[in-house]
Amino acid sequence: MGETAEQLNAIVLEMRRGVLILGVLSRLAVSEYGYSLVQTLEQEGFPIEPGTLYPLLRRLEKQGLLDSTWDTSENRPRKYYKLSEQGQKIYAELIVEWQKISASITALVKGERGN
Amino acid sequence: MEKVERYIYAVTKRLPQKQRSDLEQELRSLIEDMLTEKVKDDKATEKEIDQVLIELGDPAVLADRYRAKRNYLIGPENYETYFLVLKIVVAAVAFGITLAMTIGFFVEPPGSIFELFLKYFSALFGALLQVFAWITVIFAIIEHQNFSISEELKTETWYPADLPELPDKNLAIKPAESLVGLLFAVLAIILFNTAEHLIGIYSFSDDGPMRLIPLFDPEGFRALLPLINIMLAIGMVKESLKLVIRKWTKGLALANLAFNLLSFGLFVLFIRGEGLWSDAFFAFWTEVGLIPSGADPLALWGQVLTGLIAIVALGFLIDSAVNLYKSFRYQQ
Repeated sequence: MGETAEQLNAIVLEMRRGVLILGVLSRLAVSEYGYSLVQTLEQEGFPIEPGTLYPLLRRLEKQGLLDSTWDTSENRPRKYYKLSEQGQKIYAELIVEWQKISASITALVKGERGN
Repeated sequence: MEKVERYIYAVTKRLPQKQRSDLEQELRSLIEDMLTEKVKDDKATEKEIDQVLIELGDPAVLADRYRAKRNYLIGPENYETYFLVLKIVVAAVAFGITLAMTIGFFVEPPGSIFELFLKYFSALFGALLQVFAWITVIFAIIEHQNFSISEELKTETWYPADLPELPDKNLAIKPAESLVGLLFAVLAIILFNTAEHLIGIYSFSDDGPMRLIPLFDPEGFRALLPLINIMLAIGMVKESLKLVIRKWTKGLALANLAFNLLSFGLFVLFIRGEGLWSDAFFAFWTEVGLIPSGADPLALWGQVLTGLIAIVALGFLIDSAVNLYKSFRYQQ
């Protein structure tokens, strides 16, 4: 059923989009550059397309959640991103929110199965 | 690597100047990282470059993601208002130009119909283009300032009582009707003001060339023309009002009655006006034998006009009465 797979795919994508920022922020306590972050997240089982991640990093920087620095010491200059002070604050709050959501949804889904 | 540069260019050209150079460098290093990962120590081939670029996707889409919000000249939030304003102003300007040209026609009659049409349409085209440009610029500025008209007009907090009333189907005015009315009024104004001598009986006989028997006496017609113009102008104002209000309110129905009375009065004054009808017109009827010799053609024609007036009166009466009835009957 191609239709089922398509519908499921769209909903999963939507779901992941909601937690994308949380996933990205979680890896940025230390400086990372775009591609290294793509790899880390993939290793952690949360792959993000580069075409989605790179613009997101810049947007988060613009919002003041990330600080960026250019490292030109190596032969390939790279832009590194790291949580800003504001970013750390927001990240801590987000974890709490995420745990609440996760707990309620888990309970809801369990309840459904219990019926 | 030329393809990579082309890709970077395709993304950054869609973005504001000030973030371009930084983004160019970043994108370049990111793409190189991705290539290095693919080929390790080898040199990247076209095929691998293509794979990486495909992974990054359509440059237009990527550029869209780099912009936090979509760019609109006029966004969906303001589009409806923009279009409504545009319609009303365009109608008003078209009306104004028509009126101005009509007046200009009397003050300084042009050499030919062709010249008049040329003048009219170039003036109309120029004015409409200006109006279109200005309204669009104003709305583009509003859009750019990121400010929504409808939101700005709303009160601070919203209450259910603010909900608009449901439009009553019985009271709705179809915009198409008014637009057709406006169009006909414009055409009639042009016709009466520029081509009055072409209104008449076109007589085709087997042997001779076509004859045109003008309906109006030029002198008499010119004296009475303002009546027709005022009548048509009233009609246009009426249709414009209907177009804007979009439903029959008591006020509109009463205004409609007043407009109809006025129009009817002007119409009667016009067709009963002295010296309006041409002598050739009466001569023609006598010639073809429709008027018995000895009878007074003017008196006979007078009876025809009485019938015509009665029909027009009935039309205005029905229009006035039906809309008055509707507006009082269905209004809450």
